[in-house]
Amino acid sequence: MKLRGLFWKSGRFSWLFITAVIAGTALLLWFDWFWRTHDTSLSRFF
Amino acid sequence: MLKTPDGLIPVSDGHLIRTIHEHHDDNSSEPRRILTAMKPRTVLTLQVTLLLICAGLVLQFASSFPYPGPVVRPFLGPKERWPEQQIRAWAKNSQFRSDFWEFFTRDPVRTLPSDAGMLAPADGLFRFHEWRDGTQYVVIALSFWDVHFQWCPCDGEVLSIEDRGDTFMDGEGKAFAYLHEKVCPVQKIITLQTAWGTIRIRLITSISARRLKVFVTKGQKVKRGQKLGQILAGSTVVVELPSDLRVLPAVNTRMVGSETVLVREKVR
Repeated sequence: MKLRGLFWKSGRFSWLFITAVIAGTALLLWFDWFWRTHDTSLSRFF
Repeated sequence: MLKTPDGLIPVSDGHLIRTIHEHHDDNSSEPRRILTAMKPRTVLTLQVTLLLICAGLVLQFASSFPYPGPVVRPFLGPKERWPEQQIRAWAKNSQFRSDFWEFFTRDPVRTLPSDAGMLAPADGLFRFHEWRDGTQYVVIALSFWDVHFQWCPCDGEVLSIEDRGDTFMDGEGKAFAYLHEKVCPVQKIITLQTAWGTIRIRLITSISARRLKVFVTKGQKVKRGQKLGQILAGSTVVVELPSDLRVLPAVNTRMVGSETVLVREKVR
């Protein structure tokens, strides 16, 4: 019941769910930018 | 049990009820007030729109992978925005994406230096410097992200424009520069009579570069910094100089066409 509440609330999506989706998308795009512009190879530590 | 807009909250004392309501009112920001005033159907439409926008962004990311998607592209430098592998794939089909082609055919205005020396005719990496039969060869390798226009290195007169080469090859141009009899890549050789002596500028194409444009004609008097030609996709420019000229830039340094001074004096 609680899990469903995180996703759906009385005829609309939960704002928590919407926020999580927007944050996830933003994080994905940011990480896409980050690994393209920075040296992310682990070999530089060894 | 008391029913509040947020659901059921167990409270036993009136003071607590007031506190909750005051607390709630103090924190109700303008966006929250707008959202609570909206009908559930409107809220749902807004939420579905937001979810669809996110889904679209993720789909664009996935469909472009491993190359950058349209959202990330504006935040990347040229080399990350159009990775080499992607450009090579485009070159194979001779079909470039319009934003790259616009970048590739850019024509920046160059400011001539006050130095009176001979200038580099093209942008690119000074790849090799060799002498052969009394001629020194300055090989400039152009990358996909370099400006592909070439400029006159000094004042002079165009003695001839020759076509040479019979095939398209992929390579760095070093081995091509001296090939006269064997199979060699398509070239245009512009010979200039200048105060520094007779110099030749070779525009060499590769598998990715199928066209060469030359903007000067035989017998034309040319000025330093005047536009000489254009290679339509990454390749090589070779400058052939008399051996008594001292080339200033070091090998493996980058040259800026019409700005880097190539020769300032003769060898004494």
